[in-house]
Amino acid sequence: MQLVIGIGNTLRGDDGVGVAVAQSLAEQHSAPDLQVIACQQLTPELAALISQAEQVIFVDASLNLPVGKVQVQPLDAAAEQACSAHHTAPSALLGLAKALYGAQPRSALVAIGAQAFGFSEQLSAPVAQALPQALHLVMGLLSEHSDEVP
Amino acid sequence: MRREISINPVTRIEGHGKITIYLAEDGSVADAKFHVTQLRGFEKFAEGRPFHEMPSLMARICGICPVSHLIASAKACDALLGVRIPPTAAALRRVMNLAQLAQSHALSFFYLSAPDLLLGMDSDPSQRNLFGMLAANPQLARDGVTLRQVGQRIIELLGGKRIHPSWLVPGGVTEPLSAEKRDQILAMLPNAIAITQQAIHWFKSILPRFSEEIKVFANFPTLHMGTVDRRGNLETYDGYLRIVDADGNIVEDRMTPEDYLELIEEAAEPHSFLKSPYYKPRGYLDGMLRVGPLSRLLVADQISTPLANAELQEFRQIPERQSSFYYHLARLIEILYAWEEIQRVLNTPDILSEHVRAYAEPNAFEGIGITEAPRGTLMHHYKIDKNGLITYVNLIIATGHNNLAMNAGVKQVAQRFVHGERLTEGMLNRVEAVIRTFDPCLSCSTHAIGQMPLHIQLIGPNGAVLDEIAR
Repeated sequence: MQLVIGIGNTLRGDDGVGVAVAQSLAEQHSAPDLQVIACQQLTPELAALISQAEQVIFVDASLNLPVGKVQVQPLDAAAEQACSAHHTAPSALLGLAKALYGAQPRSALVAIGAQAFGFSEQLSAPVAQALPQALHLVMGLLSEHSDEVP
Repeated sequence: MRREISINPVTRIEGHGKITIYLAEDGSVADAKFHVTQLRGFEKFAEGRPFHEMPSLMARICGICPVSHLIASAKACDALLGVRIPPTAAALRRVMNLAQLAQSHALSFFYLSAPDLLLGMDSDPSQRNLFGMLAANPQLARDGVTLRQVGQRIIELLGGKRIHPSWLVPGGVTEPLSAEKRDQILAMLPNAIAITQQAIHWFKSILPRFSEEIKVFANFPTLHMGTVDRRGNLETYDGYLRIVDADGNIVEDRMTPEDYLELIEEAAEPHSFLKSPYYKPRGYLDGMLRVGPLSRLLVADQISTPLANAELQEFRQIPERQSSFYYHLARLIEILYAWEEIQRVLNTPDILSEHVRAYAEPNAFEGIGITEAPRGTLMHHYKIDKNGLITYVNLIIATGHNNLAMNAGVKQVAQRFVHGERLTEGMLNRVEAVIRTFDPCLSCSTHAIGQMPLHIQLIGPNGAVLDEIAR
């Protein structure tokens, strides 16, 4: 199973870009082994689902990238050792999946540089323009992995 | 001049609060207060909205227990419509409420409190979390994740999504249950029951390590309020409110939602945004109430499901069962009840009936909905005008009912464990841990924004900082 997790709050402008990518992916690309999830925040119990995946791709807005820039970033399961019901990082979830279930799926974060987090259901123009590229990168990661599976 | 210790924020609870401990000149604890420092204002901004929006609006109060608010709100709206919802709709709401109760209790026990219970109150705070638990007892951590997941999955199967499902509406629910989904839920339950029994067994095995905490973790006589059915069984969706005293004597019984106006009064304290409800006939402080899993077990005569009832009868033999430390055990027993009761309800013949919603225009200007949320009795009270627009909202949240007891509990623990002018992590963690036994949900109860660092200062009579801890 390949898992894509779009993270964000669609009521806070650009923060919803991860969810928007997940929604577009679910609408445009269906495959029997693909599971797409959209959530406001990551919670520890997602580790159980992650443990069943061959690859997990997180999609999230980023404050550390220039606005509208899209980047595939590696994730380190050991990088984050803290989680809570309200805040859990992708790397912490990967760490949990490894520690709890011995699972180490291939993983990546597709980060989209964002700027406007006020009350809005709209993405800002540069982030909206970056959405197709983010989707393209996610699909690239998915197909790259599919090729490796006999 | 009094000296103060401030714990700000209290960690591993839902929302933001702080604790102030006031020291006397000799270094002993003179007083302690639990402050809730956030305000959300849901009661006011709902005014003017169409009443049928209320379940969806009120669910946004909380991301942990949205289902509880949905149910209390939907029940208040049922009262505005003046309808009796179809029995299958009531059964399905009951299942969702139980799943919510189980997943929330699992969060409280396994994610928030088990690190203290497993690693000890004096352990390194950087290890007192899910990862620290993993290193010490991976099976316990896995069990916590599984129980949360089962509860969330049941909510998702019934409501379409796990947080803020829009399936619960005034008059019933929007969709009947399919046989496929029923079977999916039933298939998860045997494992969930086995895991819960293991957790109960484990918790009982560690109790001897916490004899000192049991003595002073809000261990004093109070009233207890909870819901029972007409036979006195534990009930969480619908039934009658009952209040018992510390000796188990029934003080109020067969209370209907409307009775709350005469029996519960809300006091406001200057040090907190959280109101302090109390049992009106006994007055402020003497009318101190507790609610939630411990109180529900103290209020009920028995539990209708066999495994949980056996645990209840054993629980009743514990001499210090008034101690809030036993909220943890009560929580686990209620999780067991939830799985058993979901099994029973889903095996009833009409559970797949397609008649799951009653339709009506408003027939009353006032409606009250009461249900048992994970943390205790939850009350939603609405008034509408002739156009169906909300003119008045009063919400009494479970955490509020426990406010007086939480404050008294913080003082009791501080007086036992905090001394002198040096602070230790273990001391302060116990002061926080007594709050965690109640599993307060401050986002709910003040109807959180931002992250605050934990910063504790001990300030001397001349204003000098004597000691300081930051997390």
